[in-house]
Amino acid sequence: MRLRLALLALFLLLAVSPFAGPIRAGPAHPPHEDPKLALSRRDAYHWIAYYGEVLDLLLAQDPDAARALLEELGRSNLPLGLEDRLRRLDSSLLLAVDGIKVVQEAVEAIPGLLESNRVAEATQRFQSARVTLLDLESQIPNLSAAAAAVAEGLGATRAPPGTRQREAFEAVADRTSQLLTQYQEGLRYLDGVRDAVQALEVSLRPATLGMVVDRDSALVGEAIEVSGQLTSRDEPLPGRRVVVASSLNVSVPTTTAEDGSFRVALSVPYAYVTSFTLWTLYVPEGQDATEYQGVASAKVLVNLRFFRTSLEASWPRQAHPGKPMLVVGKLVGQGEVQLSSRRLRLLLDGRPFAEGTVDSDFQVEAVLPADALPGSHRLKVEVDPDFASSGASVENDLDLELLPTGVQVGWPRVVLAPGKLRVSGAVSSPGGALGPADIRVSLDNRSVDSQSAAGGKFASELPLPWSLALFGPHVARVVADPNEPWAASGAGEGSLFVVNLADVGLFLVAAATLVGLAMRKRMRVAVAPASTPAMPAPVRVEPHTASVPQRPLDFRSRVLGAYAEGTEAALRYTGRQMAPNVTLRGFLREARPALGGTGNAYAELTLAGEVALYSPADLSEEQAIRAEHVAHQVVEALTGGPA
Amino acid sequence: MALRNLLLAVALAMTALLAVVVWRYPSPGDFLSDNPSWNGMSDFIEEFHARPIKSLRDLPPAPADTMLIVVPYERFAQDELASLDSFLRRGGTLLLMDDYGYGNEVLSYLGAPVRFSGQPLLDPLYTYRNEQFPRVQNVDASVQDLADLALNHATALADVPAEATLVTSSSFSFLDLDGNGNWDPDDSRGPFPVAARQRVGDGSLVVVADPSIVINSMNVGGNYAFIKVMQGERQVLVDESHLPRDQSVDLGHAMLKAVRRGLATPIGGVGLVFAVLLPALWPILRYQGGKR
Repeated sequence: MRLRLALLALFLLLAVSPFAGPIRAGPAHPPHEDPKLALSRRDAYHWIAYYGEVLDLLLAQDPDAARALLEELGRSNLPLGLEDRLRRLDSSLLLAVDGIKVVQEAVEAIPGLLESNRVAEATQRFQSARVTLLDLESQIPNLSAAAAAVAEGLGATRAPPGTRQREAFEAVADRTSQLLTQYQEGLRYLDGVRDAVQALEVSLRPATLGMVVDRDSALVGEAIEVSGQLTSRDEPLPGRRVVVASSLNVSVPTTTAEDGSFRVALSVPYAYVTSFTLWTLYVPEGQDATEYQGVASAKVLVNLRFFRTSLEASWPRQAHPGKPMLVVGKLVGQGEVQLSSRRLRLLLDGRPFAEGTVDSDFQVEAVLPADALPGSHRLKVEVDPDFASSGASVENDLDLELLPTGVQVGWPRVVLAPGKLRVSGAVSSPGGALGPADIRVSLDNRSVDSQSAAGGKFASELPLPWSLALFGPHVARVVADPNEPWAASGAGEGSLFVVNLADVGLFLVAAATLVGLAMRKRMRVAVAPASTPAMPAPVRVEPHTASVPQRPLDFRSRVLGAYAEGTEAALRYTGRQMAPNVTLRGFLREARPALGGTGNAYAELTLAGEVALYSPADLSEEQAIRAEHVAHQVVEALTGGPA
Repeated sequence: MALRNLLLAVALAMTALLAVVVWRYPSPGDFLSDNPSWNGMSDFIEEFHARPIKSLRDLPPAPADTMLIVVPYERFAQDELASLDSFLRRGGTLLLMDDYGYGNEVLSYLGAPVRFSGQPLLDPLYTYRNEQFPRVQNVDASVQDLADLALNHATALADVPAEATLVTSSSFSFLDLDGNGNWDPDDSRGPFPVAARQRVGDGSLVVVADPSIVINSMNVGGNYAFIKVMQGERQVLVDESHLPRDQSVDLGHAMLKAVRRGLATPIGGVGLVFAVLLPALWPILRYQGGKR
């Protein structure tokens, strides 16, 4: 029994060990937790620290970054109950951001304006910056109070000194006072600017620059005439350089005439906007730099005209990568404008992939990019501007999808394993003829690759190896992967029955074994004595002939017969009864003293009887002969002759 | 003798019963498709009609319409890396989601510049539950309309080309280099990219710095919507061959499967025949031995 168990365990170990795989090192547990069990926390320190950072950015005069950080803070998870306090703090900080931006722009512009003697503009900027700084200075108490209210709500003001949130709050208070200092420094700087402006105002003669535009609207590409006069205290300034500038980034320099006048033609750029502004600028140069103030004229608004082009275009909602697609459209121009030979471009997700020249009614066939991925895309059709005619574009969704690939396969209903699964078939597509496609035939985790021939036909053989798992109904699969960018991979499946010769053999062996076991059991029941250790009935032992081979079961019954014979003689000799609950050995112990010299022989006979009754081992002929011999001795000694 | 046989029969019956229970019991393992608990992916599998695969050998030969999700918590063999590379270059979409696993080995093999930083990404203010659950914003046009994603003990991406970035963390996020849970001057400050996409061959590689966005309990915010955008019309496959597998029930599953696989091989088959024949032939063998 122990040997059988050991063999079974060994077999299981052998079966498992080569396939269980090596133990591999890796992170034991992914670091995540059940969000339902995760507690939300009010993070006082980080809230206050990040508001402190907004103040840092203001102190560093980076209002844009401060505004971005404030907007991000506004999108964060606001601590419950503190929303109003936080909004108040945000408002105070946004006022500071806007104000600092105005001051910063003024401070950056003023030196350049002073350098070009543009005293009036510098004065305007200076005044604006000063008013803003005074306003910011007055807002500091509100900012401090708002920050303190938030800190109190977060518990930072009550936190013991030295804790992170307390330190963060103290840092905010410190930065607020630094901001006040910075405002005050700004005001002192502006006082210096005012002195410089006033000095220039006194030392330089003011100049006046008038400007007239010959029309209030113009066609794109058209030349417009700009004229004017440069004077100083009603005296003309001849030979001075004046620049006509525009909001379309076009500028034209000119020189004033004897009477200080100028006249210049400016070509309106091909910008398809509704209006633009014009102004002129005089910056004193050379000796003038120490004599005259610079000046800019008032700005003049000019309306722009152009011929609007409208574009209508339509295309299929679905298309296929690498396949041509037809775009049908119409160009409509404003007024009498002829629309011909216009440049048209197609873009997929902003990437141009086709272009050509079209007239008012057009049909364009363009091949979509082969590398475009299936899914939703945006297709844009755009027409370039053409002189006075504006450009136009339309944009809409385009779903790119792959065309299905059909796979027809001929399957055998039954295959033998080990052996080969032979399949043949053809691949086709509604999109047209397919070139060689990659074919994979698979069954369970086995597969074989091949290629289809011209016309899409293919034939493959999948070897089916020696495996006990490959038995019964299975689903085999053929996957075809065409190389055309517009064709999807296709698959075909078929049910087949695998007859596994190894399994059949194993089944037969198992069946034969079971039958054999059953027959053996039946034979044992038929031949063996009753299994209860009761006193065996005497068995008449027939003399046997040595020439006839006997089976092991016969030897057992011969031994038992010999024991029964000897015991019958012992019972008679001693006059004892053998109770049903007395074992063979128990009876030997009771009877032995009375048997005298025959006791040893009877003990040997008892031992042989025990072996015959209880041992699973088969008895030999020698054992049977020996038992019969001893029984004969016992009977002879106790009865005076053989039984 | 009879008692011993009874004990053996009871032991065998118990073993068989235990094997059936282990085989049928839903796995509690992280990211497993048949795990309906908070850390499983059963909801995801149902929502996306996804198909779990047990081996990268099961990848389709024509992967253009397939998106493969890989959570690389086990090391990859060279042939597995080659399979992923081939899958991508032939047009497949690979969604590589990792935080502290072997994702960088995959990225290195694929020649992609992106890396998982491997440092904990915390965000004290812009969160789903607390700082371990950062909310992150979609910045790319393809996902800009989606709700914020919610991460769960994530990391960040490094060396991401600007045009490849899909999703970033907030300015308040930081990499907790010293592990104290607070931002310190030595900790790197956000925003950090946490999802990126780039082309590899004909395919598309999407890298996400937190695999937990697909587990059942994290179907919140724009998590699943983000995956849907990445999916498009593709069939979703989930690689289960590189998931963490230290759980005892998973180990039991794995052992049973290994036994089944082992018995199906020639060696196993011969062993099975031997095991069947041995009890039947035992008396004969013993008799022959006794005669000698």
